[in-house]
Amino acid sequence: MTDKNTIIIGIGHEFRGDDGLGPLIIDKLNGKVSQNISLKKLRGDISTLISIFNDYKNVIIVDAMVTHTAPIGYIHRVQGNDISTLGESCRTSTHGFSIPDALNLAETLQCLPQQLTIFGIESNNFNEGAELSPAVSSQVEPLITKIINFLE
Amino acid sequence: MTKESDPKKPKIQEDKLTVKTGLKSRTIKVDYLARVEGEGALYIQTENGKVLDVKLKIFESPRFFEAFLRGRDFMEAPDITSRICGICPIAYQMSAVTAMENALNLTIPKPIQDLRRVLYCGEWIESHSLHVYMLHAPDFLGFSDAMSMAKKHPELVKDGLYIKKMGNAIVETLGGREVHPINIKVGGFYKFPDKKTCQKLANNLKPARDKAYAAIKMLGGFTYPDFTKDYEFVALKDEQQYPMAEGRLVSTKGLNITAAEYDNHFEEIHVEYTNALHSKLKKRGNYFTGPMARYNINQAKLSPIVKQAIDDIKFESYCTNPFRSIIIRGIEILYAFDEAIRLLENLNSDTPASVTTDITPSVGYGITEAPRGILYHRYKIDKAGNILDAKIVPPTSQNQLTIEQDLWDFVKQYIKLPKETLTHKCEQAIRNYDPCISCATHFLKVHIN
Repeated sequence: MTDKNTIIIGIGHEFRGDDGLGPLIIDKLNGKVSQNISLKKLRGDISTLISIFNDYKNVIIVDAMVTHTAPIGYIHRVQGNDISTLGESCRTSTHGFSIPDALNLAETLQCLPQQLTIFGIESNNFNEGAELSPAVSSQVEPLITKIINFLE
Repeated sequence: MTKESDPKKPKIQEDKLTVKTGLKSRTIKVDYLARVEGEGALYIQTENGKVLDVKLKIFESPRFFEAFLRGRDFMEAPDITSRICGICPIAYQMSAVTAMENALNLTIPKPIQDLRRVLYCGEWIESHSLHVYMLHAPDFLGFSDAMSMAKKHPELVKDGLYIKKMGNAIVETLGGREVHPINIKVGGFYKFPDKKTCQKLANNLKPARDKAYAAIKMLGGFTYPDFTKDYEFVALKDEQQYPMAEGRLVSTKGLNITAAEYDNHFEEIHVEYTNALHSKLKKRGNYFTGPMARYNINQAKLSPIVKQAIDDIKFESYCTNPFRSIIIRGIEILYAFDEAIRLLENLNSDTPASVTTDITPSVGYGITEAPRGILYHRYKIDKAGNILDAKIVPPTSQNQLTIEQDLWDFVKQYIKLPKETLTHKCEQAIRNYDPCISCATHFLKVHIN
């Protein structure tokens, strides 16, 4: 998957514990993926996701996840639009949607991308000012490897 | 966004509504206001057809920005205060730099003023479009939220998201980032855009301007409750242009002052039942700031294409019905696109990105027009440029008293409506002001024992 219509979006806020996962992954992927692949950090305004869906065929989202179906540190990969498995997968500002809201709206507007993949790590610490919890931090490099393998 | 998820009809969920069913008294209580930014609640008590009590309760936690600005360097003010809000960070940056440049007696060259104005256009577009299409339009089309509205009106929602995207594009291109831009500083910018970047952005905005023009006709076609009042509107007024960061502070009842005189005429009061201070004119009490105030005071300065759109729907030249504020937000979205295009196509890019001057101990004042109304900043700095004292008065806290008064008068007028309908209309009345509760939350004093 190395066309010019692929984007990887890291969602979250780097100063809010495990919510910093998305932006961190984008920083670490910089220089490791093809220049044809766009990288973007997104915090707060998840409604921007829908605009991005209109512009790209293949969208990969990376975010901290809270599904209560796996131990902390578990790496999730959700393929397609299986929104029901996502749970509370995004801690947003009070200004925007959650990821499931954005995906539901995109589906209603018939503007979901051709291919949508969501990578995440099961998380539980979203305290302001906190760093990534150890269980999440230990899975950052394995997640990077999974994403790079997925792209090839 | 909305906390409600009932797609079938615009009803208030039972667990949010507390009703006394006695013969003589009614209580309207909404524990969590939907489709407003931040956390607030509504309480209204009536008896024998009379309104006894109205409370707009802001329970969002206080932010303490004025406290932790003390001791920071003056150059940090725009970056720190922008964190007060994720939807109107540029307003905080602009009021901060205006106040600091006032303290330093620093004159800003016109190209920098013009670029700042383009950025402000971007913020007006993204803030107003979020409110118009996602928060307020569902009220007028009979839906409980934007999601259910999207199923019946997908093109409307798509247009709204596209318009917001173009507002974001202005902010990201010129400010360096969509949320909490990084290119604005006291004295100007860190980097000035080149001519090619400006022209490309202007070209991209033109189709969005067309969409914004068409939207005004749609907004003019909504049905609006009959509710008008004699408000004191307060806004900036500039002799040259529709104001964003220019001019004197005026009102429709005689106020005409500089930013430095603000504290002589306005006061903030801590009210027991809310975390947001109530703001009032010392001589006359509550007032109304925001798009409706700007329009009523400055509409002669709108550009020709905007005046044509206003004429197309025969919109009034002086509006006193707050439910029609959504039309004025649509008007300002169109103006912001038109103004941004004009400025970008004529911007002098061959200019220093910023100017500087020596620091002296001083006090500076700044008022700019946030999307929701006037935003006042005042700073006192020492000879090293450290902030000794800060005061920030956001527009939503300034409108709180007027919102409560609107609710009082609206319930009086429509008291015979069924309870559920009246409750929904009261929530809609609050949404007329597009309140930003996270900005408004504020304590006057905190005592720690």
